[in-house]
Amino acid sequence: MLSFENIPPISNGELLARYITHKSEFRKDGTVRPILFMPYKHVELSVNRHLECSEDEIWCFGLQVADRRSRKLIGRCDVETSICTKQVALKVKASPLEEENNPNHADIYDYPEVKSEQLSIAQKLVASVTHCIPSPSS
Amino acid sequence: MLDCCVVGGVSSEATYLDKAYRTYYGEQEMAVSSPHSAAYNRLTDIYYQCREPNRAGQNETSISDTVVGLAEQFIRCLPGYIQMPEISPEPDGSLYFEWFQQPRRIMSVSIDAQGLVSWSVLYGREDPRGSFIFTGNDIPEIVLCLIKKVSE
Repeated sequence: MLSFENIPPISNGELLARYITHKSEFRKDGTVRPILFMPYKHVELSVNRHLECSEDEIWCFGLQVADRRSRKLIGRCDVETSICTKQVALKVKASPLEEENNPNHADIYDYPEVKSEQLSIAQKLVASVTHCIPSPSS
Repeated sequence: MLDCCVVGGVSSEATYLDKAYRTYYGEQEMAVSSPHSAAYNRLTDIYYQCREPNRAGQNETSISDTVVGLAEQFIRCLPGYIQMPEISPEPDGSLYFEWFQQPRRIMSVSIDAQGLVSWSVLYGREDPRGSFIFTGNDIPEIVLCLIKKVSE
């Protein structure tokens, strides 16, 4: 994982993980639903950078996220940063969480506040992301 | 199933659903064969799941009686020739309806407790979206046309 002392800016080629903790966030065929990429309560969305993370570390952060939501970790969906920044004109920033020992945390932000616009963006995002990747712990 | 859950329940929520359902549909329409029954069943499941202790994670809003009532009315307003949606709870307390064929052929509808219905379609390169206030009686024709177009 990254070091808190050296958090590099996010590049367009980086992969970001969005953790899945509710069965309604994906379909039976493994495709993810737009609600996985809907921001709430703020107009930004938590993700985790893959950069310098082992597969085990990526899942370990997912378990932390699920624990914080009082949920079980079901899986994750990976999205390339450029999908967020170029296809749907959102922004992505590093947002390390020292209190959770998560230097790889990031936020996708600049969602519009109007919900129909958020839905439209989320539809376009999920048309370009991976299927639900099941958690090894599930 | 809605009628089974309601009949078997003893809580105030069960009583609420029972009353609402019978008011809107009457005894006869509670038959399992109704084209809308799968959607009602799913709504009932969500209603009860969202009341389980510790269900709502941190920062999540529970699904209110009001939004469930609006969602029931929304389903009732869907003509029989339209495919019924998949329904999911949202963290902000809204209910999410989805008609999905493939990633670029999808309609999403979100209903909140104030009756604001936000909708968006992705159909190839077309991406119409909008919102309206749902009072329980009518769904705008454009929305019904788009649901039909996505579902076909």
